Amino acid sequence: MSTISEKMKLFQNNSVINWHEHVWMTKDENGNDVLNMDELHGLIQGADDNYMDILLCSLPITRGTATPEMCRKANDLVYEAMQLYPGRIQGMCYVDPGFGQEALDEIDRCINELGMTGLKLYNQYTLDDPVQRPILAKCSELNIPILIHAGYSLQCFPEQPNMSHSEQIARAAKAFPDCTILMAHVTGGGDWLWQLRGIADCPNVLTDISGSVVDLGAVEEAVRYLGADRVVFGTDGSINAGVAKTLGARISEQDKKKILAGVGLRRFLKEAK
Amino acid sequence: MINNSIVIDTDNYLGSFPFRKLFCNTPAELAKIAEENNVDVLCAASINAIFYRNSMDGNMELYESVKTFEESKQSPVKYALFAVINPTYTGFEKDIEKAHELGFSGIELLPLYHRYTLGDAKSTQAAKLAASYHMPIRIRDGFEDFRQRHQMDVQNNLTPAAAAAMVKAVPEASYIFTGFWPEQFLSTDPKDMIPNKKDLFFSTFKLDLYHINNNFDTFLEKVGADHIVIGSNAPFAYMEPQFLRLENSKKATQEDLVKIYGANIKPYLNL
Repeated sequence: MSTISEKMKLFQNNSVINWHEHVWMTKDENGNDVLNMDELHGLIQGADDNYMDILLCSLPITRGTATPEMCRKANDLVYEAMQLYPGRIQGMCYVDPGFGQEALDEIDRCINELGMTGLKLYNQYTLDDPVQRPILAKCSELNIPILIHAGYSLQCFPEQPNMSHSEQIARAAKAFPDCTILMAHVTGGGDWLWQLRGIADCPNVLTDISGSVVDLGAVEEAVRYLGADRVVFGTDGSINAGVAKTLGARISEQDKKKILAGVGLRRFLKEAK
Repeated sequence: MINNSIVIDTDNYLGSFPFRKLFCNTPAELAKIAEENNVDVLCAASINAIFYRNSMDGNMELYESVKTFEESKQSPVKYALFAVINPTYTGFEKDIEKAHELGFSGIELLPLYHRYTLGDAKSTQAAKLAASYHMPIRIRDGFEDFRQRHQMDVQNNLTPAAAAAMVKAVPEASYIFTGFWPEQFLSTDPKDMIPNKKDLFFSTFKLDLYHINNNFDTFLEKVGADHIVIGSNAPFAYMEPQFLRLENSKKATQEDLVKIYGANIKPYLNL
């Protein structure tokens, strides 16, 4: 019998890398796009409460086309958060692949000039769309991971027709076996078994356990299908859910430590304790 | 965690779910998880009873399996049973009477699965009968997150307005609402009836959707600690999220926590 505070020693005493978080944009009094400091401080408070060491953060444009200007602004705000919390927040560059060379240039800028860790793709195109090929090649060349927004629902996500599901991600992963792909939030809403089964035989695809769904067995099944080396910790706004499902999962302590440390992606971090 | 306070999980099930394997579906397995979370009492209903034409067959399976488990004295965890009642099926009144006679603590209504409207003639009749036996009524939305439901599962969600209709039709009954999207309760009718209804409870399940900060605190401020009970939805969901959110609450006092952990609901369960 152990209390939650006793269980939380797992987080307190081990390296905790959160591979799926965000900072967000808001308007200042002059109508300019600025970093949402309330959200940022809330995120840091939640990370402090739950002993998270590093947060990988992006700022995606979640609906519609994201112009190169919008992406640059979003990435600049991520960089601002990195500067406010050096070492604690690491950046994930965000682009809309539909802008071709401009998207590739922005990836170069974010990785080589701003010191970001990886690339975040959202729902503008599925990952197996031909428009993604130069992006996948660029990430292979730069040796950076891609975090791809993902989900599968029998009811569909009508507002997100191009959200990637595991079969599409697997097709891209097989075409670019040198590219490391992180399938986002397996427990973020949608059929998590579909998501796991679809990528099971793709060694270059991992998943994170972020999202609000706390189905008993989901983390266990992720480890069963992928192995703990291919499952990483994340929250994506649902900090309580992400932490608690890790605590509740009936897997070995060693596997939990692997998930928290993100062993499968650790080589990509700028620094880690 | 508050020392020596009773901990009651108001949202539990046993049995087989048609659309997904549950990794824990016997009284002993669920009790083991409860023990790991310091839960003293599990409020369980039969999943099989939801899908059987005659729900009472499922209720009886639950009754027998829990009776065998408790007689084995293998765990200090106790069960408070909720009988699934389908008011659209003939003889449901006898099911409520039988459940009361057997010592079931409450009844459960699932209007989405049994396809009726809360507050209609049949559900009103069921609620009045349950109230006459002082059996609380648990009303639940669907089970899984709507984005992952199987094509043969229910596709809609229960609205607060629908739940409010039941309370208005039978105000003398006690209610536990669980599985709802809690944010809905903050801006619609049920909020208004809280001050006048002492025995209306909302479970903690789903209280942190999408929010960086602990959404439980917002809910606590809106509805008050007297109206919140722990509901994990185990074995569909892990128990830990409910306890972690209380542990991380910035607003809940020790007194609030004692109520939420179990003191609120204990008097209604005939333990």
